[in-house]
Amino acid sequence: MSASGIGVLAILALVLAVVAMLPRVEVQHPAIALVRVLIPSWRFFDDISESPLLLARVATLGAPFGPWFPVLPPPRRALRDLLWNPGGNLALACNALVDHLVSDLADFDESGAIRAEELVSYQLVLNLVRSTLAARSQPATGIRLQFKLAERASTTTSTPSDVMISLEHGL
Amino acid sequence: MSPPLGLALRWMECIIAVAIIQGTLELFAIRTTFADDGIWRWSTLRRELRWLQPVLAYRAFLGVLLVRLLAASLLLSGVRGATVPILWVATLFVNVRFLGTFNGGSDSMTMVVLSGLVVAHVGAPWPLLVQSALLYVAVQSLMSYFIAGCVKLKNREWRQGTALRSFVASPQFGAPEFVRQRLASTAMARTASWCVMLFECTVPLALAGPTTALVIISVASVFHLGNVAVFGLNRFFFAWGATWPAIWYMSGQLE
Repeated sequence: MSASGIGVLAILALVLAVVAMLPRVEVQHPAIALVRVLIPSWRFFDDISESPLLLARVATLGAPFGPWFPVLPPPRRALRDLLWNPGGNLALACNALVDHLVSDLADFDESGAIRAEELVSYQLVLNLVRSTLAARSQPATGIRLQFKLAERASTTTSTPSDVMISLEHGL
Repeated sequence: MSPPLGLALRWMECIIAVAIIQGTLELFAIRTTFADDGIWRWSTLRRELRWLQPVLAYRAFLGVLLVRLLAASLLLSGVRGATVPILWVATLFVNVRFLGTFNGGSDSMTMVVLSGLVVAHVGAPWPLLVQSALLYVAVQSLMSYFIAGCVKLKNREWRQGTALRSFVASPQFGAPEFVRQRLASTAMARTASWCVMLFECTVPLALAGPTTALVIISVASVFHLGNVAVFGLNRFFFAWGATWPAIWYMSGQLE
């Protein structure tokens, strides 16, 4: 490559580096968010805050709720992952759903124009919890469920704090 | 020596076709999650996507996936014509069905490659247009590494190695135990972090010449295989792999 070519490349790299240092701007408009696949940001792993833990608990008819348990088990790695990893990619997509709900709650309209449970992201996480519970247990009438998002404990001794707790829902 | 224009284009077509076939088969494997009682059930999505019901409701969406699979298979076997525009539209529909993307960056890079291929096919009679399409794909790919490297360099936790250790330890990725144990050491985590940042920031040097490009593409393939093993990001391997012929080709043009 010629000296002038290297110079142009260096200037471009500098401009890109400066742009990359600017704070991330989230696209808010729903129509644009739907086609955000066309507007890549390429800022992989820049947000070091961990996704909150999705926990659920269930209660049978007339009984109190049982203990909270994690909804999303860690995916298992295998050699075949390179060619075939539907479970792993699904797990990543489910974690993205949780992140989406957290983001929506952060932007939540506190004026009361819309309730949290009316958010599509809330409904999707509720669907996720329902699907997981349905896959784990026999269907039964009168089962109630509740889910919550909790920050992951930074140490093994600290207790995770709750980000949000859902209403009670039927299975 | 870099490959001729036609060969680079063909390699891009083949790799992205494999990426799309693989991704579509994976979606078929988890189709219960977007069925009428699944996570992404239409009754929930309808509020935002009602006007797309004819293509995105469950059964219609299975049809979109089938069309996508057939078009990618045709592209792999060398049929051009309308296959790439069909793939572009079908892939966009798939991402809209998941309210933006299903698999984040790999979906975006797939669209970048398909956009480049659409322009290259439409502009086939004009070599300059085909070259511009490959340049677009190459620049997007180089930018993806470079920007990801810059944002990490800016971050103190990445420079200290604690960010990488935290991602690897996170149960959401299910990284293998031996990797977690290795990166539990501060020195090892810091070394691995700096290797990642150094690699990502120096990827644009691939344009210096075909030999450098091949070396960087080789390192990139190892980097992506590592991401598959640690984070399970298999779709990234194929989506980025489809951009490497464009980088290799452009490295010869700018030499």
